[in-house]
Order: sequence, then structure tokens, then C-alpha cells
Amino acid sequence: MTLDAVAPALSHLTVENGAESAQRWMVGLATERDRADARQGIFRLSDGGLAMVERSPFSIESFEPAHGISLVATPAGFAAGDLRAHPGAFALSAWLAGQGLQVMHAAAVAFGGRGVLLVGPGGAGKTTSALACALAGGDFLGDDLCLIDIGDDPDEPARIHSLFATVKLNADSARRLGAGEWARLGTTPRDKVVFRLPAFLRTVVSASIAAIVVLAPSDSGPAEASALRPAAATRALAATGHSLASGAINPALWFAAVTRLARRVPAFRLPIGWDLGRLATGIRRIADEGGEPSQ
Amino acid sequence: MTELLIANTARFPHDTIDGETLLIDSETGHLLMMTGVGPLLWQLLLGGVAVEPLAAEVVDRFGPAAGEDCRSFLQALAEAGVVIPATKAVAEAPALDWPESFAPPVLERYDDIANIIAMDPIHDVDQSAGWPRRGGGT
Repeated sequence: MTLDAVAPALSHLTVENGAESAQRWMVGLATERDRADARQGIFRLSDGGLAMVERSPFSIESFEPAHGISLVATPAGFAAGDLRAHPGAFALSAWLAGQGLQVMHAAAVAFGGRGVLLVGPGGAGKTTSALACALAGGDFLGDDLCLIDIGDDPDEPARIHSLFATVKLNADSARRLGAGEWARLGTTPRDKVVFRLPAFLRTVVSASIAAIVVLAPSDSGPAEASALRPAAATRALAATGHSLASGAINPALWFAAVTRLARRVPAFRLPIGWDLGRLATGIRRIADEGGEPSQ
Repeated sequence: MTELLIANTARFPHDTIDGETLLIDSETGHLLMMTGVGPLLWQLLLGGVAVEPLAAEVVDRFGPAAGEDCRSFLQALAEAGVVIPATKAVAEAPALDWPESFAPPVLERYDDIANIIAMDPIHDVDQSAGWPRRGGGT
């Protein structure tokens, strides 16, 4: 039950035997004592770890440097849509922040190894855009949370790494994307259905970031993609801070990472609508043209 | 108004990109952006600046209305905690490349991430008492 809950989201990732950067995971059922004693909230531990407790349904996920990642939950907790979509996201964020890697609230796709980070507030269309691209032959990296490696070397491209091979869709989006027959993993409190990414859609685990695309409503501003100044890109990126919101990273470090990314990677504003073919073409063009969209 | 002000960089990490200054409030998560001559004034505030001499220079260059805009901007920064009183400047004032025309300094605030941060306050836990047991933390 426990591994079945987390495997669909993570099975696309592999670790080489003996890899030094691998992290130990413990996944198990919550004990009665866990449930009785635990309080709701986020806890910063004195050894540099972080823990998050959700009481309804019950789960605890934590990262402790000496023990690794732990995810315990009740059966109801393991059936929760959010957990099945992003198992251990909080703990991963905490661990990876210590490695200088940022978990961002963003979607990502790649075309020919050229990744595009899709950014926008909730409801902007990140998942729809990522799936539209995947259905059009692109490579899926993530729909809601992605791992970003910005790095200190300005000559090295920033990279996106995939975390979870799941998507969360509301009913309308699922219908429009033809997701009716995809494997369902659960439902979130906001009534989004969590789907396992079907086998016919290609996933990749990593890509260099060729561009940042800030998704905008179709009825706002210019109809075509337009370049964004780094300051405007920073503003859009600053709202993606999963690592920051979870307390995994110091705000100064997060901000420095975000401004470094905005300086290094060209950014564009792209109005989107329900013409999924046009949407995928627009994003692909931005990825292919070295960040220079056609006018 | 307080005579000398200095940027509160301990609370507000900042960066200036293509002439626009961005700051993040490490306490609330709000992102702030300075436009107009705000980024220019920020360069002075990093080392500490005396308010009235600065306002007087702005008046000399751009007129009385610009001086008032400058004072209002500094007041807004002080009220937001972005600048704090200082007893002395910590660095020599940089030579500024003043523009030919005055664009009023503006401080814009964005709270996109702040609402997320506010939802889950972080508790510090004494591990000797165990976590997340009631015996530890706040």
C-alpha cells in the first residue's frame, strides 16, 4: 500500500547503484503514537531538518540530514490526491535546498533537449500547457513542481530536473486533453483528479533551460509572445518559491537564485487559450528559436 | 524626517537588474520593485544618505515637485522598514549618473508568494523533546 502510493509519481526516476548523491527514503504506515502526538504544521529541527505534519488525512514527511527522507501516513493519508501526486515534495524540497537546488512551483517541457519553464499563478494553465506540448510530441518534465539547478557558472546552462510523473487536472481540462482513460491516482481537496502520466507521453528526467515562459490570459496584452525584461521575469519567478514557502531555504538565497536565473535565461510572456495546437506551437517555437520568438 | 537613512539589507535582500531594483522582504515574502529614479536613490541608501541634502540636490536638478517626490519616497521606504535610521554613513556616496529628466521614484509591492508563506508558519523544535510531539517547539 505505501510503496504503491508513491511509486507512480517517482518510477520514471532511476538512481545508479552506489550513486553518492542518492538519498535514503523511508516510507511506512503512521503509528498510533504518531497520530496521537503530532501537531499540524511545519517544524524546523535543530539538526537542520524540516518536517511537515498534516492531520487530515494524516501524514508526516520529513528530512533529517542523519536519517534521510521519511514519509509516514495512515491509509487515508496515502490515498490522498496531493500525496499521490507529489509524494515527499516537502521533504525533497528541504533536502535539495541543502544541495543548492530549488524546487519551483512551475511546469516544464522540452523539445529536442531544450527545456522551457512554464510559470504562472494557480489556474494560469501550466498543466494544460505542459500536456499540450507533450501531446504534440514534446518531452514532459513536470506540471506543478520542478527541480531547478541554476549553478554558479554563468557559462553552464541552468537545468530543469523532473520530480513527479503525475498531473493534476480539473474536470474541464481533463476532458479537453482527452485524459478520461488515463490511470487515476486520487483526488485533491480542490477536486482536481491526479492522473499517472500515460505511457504514450514521453518523459525526460532533465533538460537545459532554453527559456522561461510566463503564461498570461489570452485577453490580456499583446496576442503574440513578447520578451520580458529580467526584472519582470524575476517577479514572475519569485512567486514560484516552493522551497521558500516550505521554509527549506533562506529568503536571501532563494532571491539570489531567482535573480540569477532571470539574468541567465531569456523570458517571454505568452498569452494562452484553448487552442492547444497553437499553444504547443508557440511554446515549441520559443524553445527552438534560442529564445527568440517569431513576430 | 530622520536625518540619515540606510538600506535595511539584512531584512531586504536586493538586486538591480537592467536599471530596476528588486527586493524581497524576508519576513513577509513580499516582492518589492523600485522604478523611476528609485534604483538610483537605492544606490545612495546602501551606504547611508542624509535626507535633506539629497532632497535639496534633487530640487536643484529637477525642481521642487521632484524634491517632494523624493521625500515621499523615502518616507514610504521608512514606513515599510526598507530603510532604517543610521547614525553615520557606512560608505562614501557613489557618483550617480542622474538622468536628464526626472521620473518619480515608485515602490511597488507584490504579495504573490506572501500568502503561501503566511499559511504555514514554521515552528522551531527542540529535538531533545522529540518532534513533533507536544513537548517540544512552540
